[in-house]
Amino acid sequence: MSNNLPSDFAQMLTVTRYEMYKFLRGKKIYVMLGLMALLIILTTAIPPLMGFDLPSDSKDFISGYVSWVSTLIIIAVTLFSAGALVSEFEERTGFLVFPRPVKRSTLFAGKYLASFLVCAALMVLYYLVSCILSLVFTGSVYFETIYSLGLAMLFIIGTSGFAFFLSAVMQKGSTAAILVFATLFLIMSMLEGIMMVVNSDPFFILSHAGISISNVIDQATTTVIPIGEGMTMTNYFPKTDVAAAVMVVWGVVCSALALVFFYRREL
Amino acid sequence: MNPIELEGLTKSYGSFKAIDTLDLKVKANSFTGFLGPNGAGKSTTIKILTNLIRASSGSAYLDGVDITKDPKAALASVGSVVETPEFYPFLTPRETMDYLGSINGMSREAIHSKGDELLHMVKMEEWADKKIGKFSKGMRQRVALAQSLLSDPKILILDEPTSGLDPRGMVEMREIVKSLRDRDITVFMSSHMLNEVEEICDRVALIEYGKLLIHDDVSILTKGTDLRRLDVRTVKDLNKGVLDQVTALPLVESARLQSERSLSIDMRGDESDQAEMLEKLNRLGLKVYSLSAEGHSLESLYMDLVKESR
Repeated sequence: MSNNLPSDFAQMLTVTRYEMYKFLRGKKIYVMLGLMALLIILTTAIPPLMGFDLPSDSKDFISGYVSWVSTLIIIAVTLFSAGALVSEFEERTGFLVFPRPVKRSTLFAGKYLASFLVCAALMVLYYLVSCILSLVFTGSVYFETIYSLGLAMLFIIGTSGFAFFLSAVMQKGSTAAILVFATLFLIMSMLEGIMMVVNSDPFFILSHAGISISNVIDQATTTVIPIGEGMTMTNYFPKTDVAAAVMVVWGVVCSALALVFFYRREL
Repeated sequence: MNPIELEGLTKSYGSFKAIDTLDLKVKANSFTGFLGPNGAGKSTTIKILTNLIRASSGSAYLDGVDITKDPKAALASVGSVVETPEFYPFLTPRETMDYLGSINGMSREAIHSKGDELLHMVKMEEWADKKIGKFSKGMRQRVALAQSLLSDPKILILDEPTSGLDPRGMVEMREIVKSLRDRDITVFMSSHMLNEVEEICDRVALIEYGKLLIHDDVSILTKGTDLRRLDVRTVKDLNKGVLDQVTALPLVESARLQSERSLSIDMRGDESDQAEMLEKLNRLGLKVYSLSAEGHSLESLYMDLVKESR
């Protein structure tokens, strides 16, 4: 029996399956579903409540829903990825799993895949509901929405990599979660703003790349804005191809670093 | 090759060596107690053997595979309970067995039959489908032992297996480990409880400052020491005068009052000397109603060796 160890790939799928159980049996999934439902309801109900008509054009209609996606992804990644690695040390479950005949890299891959799948499934559901609403209210679905979904998947890869990196180095899951959220939602946005004020393109900042998820629909272009006394700032919008590459690079580099730290970490 | 072989195993934290070129060969099918004072390097060694930490240098072979080079293959034939492991609280014991058995490559049928058998053995079958999150430490320790035996390991590594258990839990856990003697298994266990090691193990390895002091059969090791500690309970009240009389008896090394009606005597000699001691104590008018000397031979050996190495 002991000589018939499964392949690393088969073990990774086992780890993924049980990580998914963790997500599906926990409260976090309900928090995300509730939040998504709330945003969809607000986006659909607020214009009529304020006396405005819902957009009749499918592009304008879907734009309102897609504008929440990067925020939703950051919250999902904070909930599902930030604690993935650190929990094995903090909650001491590593004493159970690490002595098993399974490589740390396999555990890492299984956990990463599970986090990606749960975040991706939630976003697919969000897009699906948004598209159904678009079909109901405008009679059509804006085709570019599929590109937005693709970019959302890449943003999940990038942000998950970042969250896994923090999860691999932090001592507590709560610290990792706070740092993931604060960095992606606040610190990166502040850096982005500062760079725009000094007319520098923040194309390499992950959260800036995430703007492409909605901009692939909105198609806004970079504009120079006067800010008084002959000075200007530049409102940069990411180019889709560059943003996609940036998200992948963040995902790959951060995941590689996370794997190194996870592999070297002792219990 | 022996099931467990350590060759020059070293673990350094800066200039401090938690294990210092440790060499150890654990015989097949032996039950080896791994002893040493706090900080001797027991847990560090066990953590290296279970892939929780990495060695700084040297090799640690498990069933012929060096865990420092190929942990996955080395751990294929190993079961372990290190400290009191925490379980995934959202899983039941049966699901935990499913998860860990799948990682080991067991078939679903094998996991179910073996898992049920082991949960029955550790008396957890009634809890097999309850979430582990609400289990007590003792219950988790039982499930931990069950999972360690799931894949029919050739080597079982236990780190303080009865730590934190209540007296009844300790006795039950020891009985379970002792019952493994029928199997083709090598047990390597660390413990602070010398009576536990003497009860369960047939061999002892003693380390201090990360180095091996001695490794041999318990019977051979304890033969060399004739020092034994007697726990004596009396009907008559004891006092300093009586204590002086006891201390002056032949073969007595030292004596201490434990309470008004009990004292502890360190004496040299064998079972017949111990029987004579009982008579002598009664001749002093102590009215002894209980005299026991359990586990002291290993304890005295342990104390002697640790004292010598310092």
